[in-house]
Amino acid sequence: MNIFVNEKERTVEKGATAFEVRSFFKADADVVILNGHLIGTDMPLKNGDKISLIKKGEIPPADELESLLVSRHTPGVHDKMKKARIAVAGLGGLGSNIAMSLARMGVGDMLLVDYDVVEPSNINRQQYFVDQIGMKKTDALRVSLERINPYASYTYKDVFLTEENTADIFKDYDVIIEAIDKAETKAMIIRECAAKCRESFIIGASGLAGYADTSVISVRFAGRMAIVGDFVNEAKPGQGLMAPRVAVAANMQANLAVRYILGDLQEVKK
Amino acid sequence: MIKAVINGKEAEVKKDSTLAEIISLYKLNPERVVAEVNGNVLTRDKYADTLVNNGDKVELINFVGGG
Repeated sequence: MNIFVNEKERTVEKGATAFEVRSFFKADADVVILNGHLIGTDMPLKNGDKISLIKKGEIPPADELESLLVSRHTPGVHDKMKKARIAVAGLGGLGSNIAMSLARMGVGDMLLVDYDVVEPSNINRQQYFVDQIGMKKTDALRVSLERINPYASYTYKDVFLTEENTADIFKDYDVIIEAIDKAETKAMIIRECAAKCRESFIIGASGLAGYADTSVISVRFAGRMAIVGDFVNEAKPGQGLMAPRVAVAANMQANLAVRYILGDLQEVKK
Repeated sequence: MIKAVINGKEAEVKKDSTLAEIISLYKLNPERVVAEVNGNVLTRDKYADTLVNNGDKVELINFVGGG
């Protein structure tokens, strides 16, 4: 039968087990992942199975690294993510977290848009670091995304979004994610993209400030839009914006993008 | 009066109401709203001259700040 070992197709005897395959191809591997799942006990293999063999501490050869980076993905997910084109508007608390998660998912083509620089009050919730204060957010995020997944194409735009330029900037993307701080700009971006980029799936967020229970954060669908949030808790004097709740909303947005790309979203079809 | 479905609930509104008037009736700030009429999202310049007709489905999504 044919199986995949670290993404390379190999022919093994019918009835071979995972640990037999390890002994043959990489006897010193201490991590064995079968079809996305880390296994601790031996299991029989079947035709088409994907097995990843990793030796802890070892830098794998370049032609194996990309497949090993996604070896914990559910089988079949990475091929679709690699073909996806996803844009993120705003690289603050929402956008920087969304970009990190989608880079880890292996999204093949991402557009990242922000006009601002990293400043100290960002770091309580945004994926930047003290030594990046003063850098353009597009430049600071580039460093992190390249470290997470160097096998994708990233486009960075250092622009301020307006009614005049928004639809043009985002029109070629499968998914457009609104990740802005200011309410008026959030609504503007979603209006412009939903009205003018009619093939795209638009994901926004509204209501993620403070530290109220995260279980009240939900998804509201309308047309080809999905909006994540509790729709109530706004950032205002007396109610701050902090990492846990912002990251929950950001990752709900990112997961909606993943579900859409995989064709798994009932409410909005690809 | 006509009947429209606004945010999933049947609502009676004045005949020839514009989308801008409906947004104001619901005490929402038009700059912070995404309005969808029968599945189409409208840009803000269309709010004042879009009439809401009998049977129309209107979704008004209000945005609050934070990100």
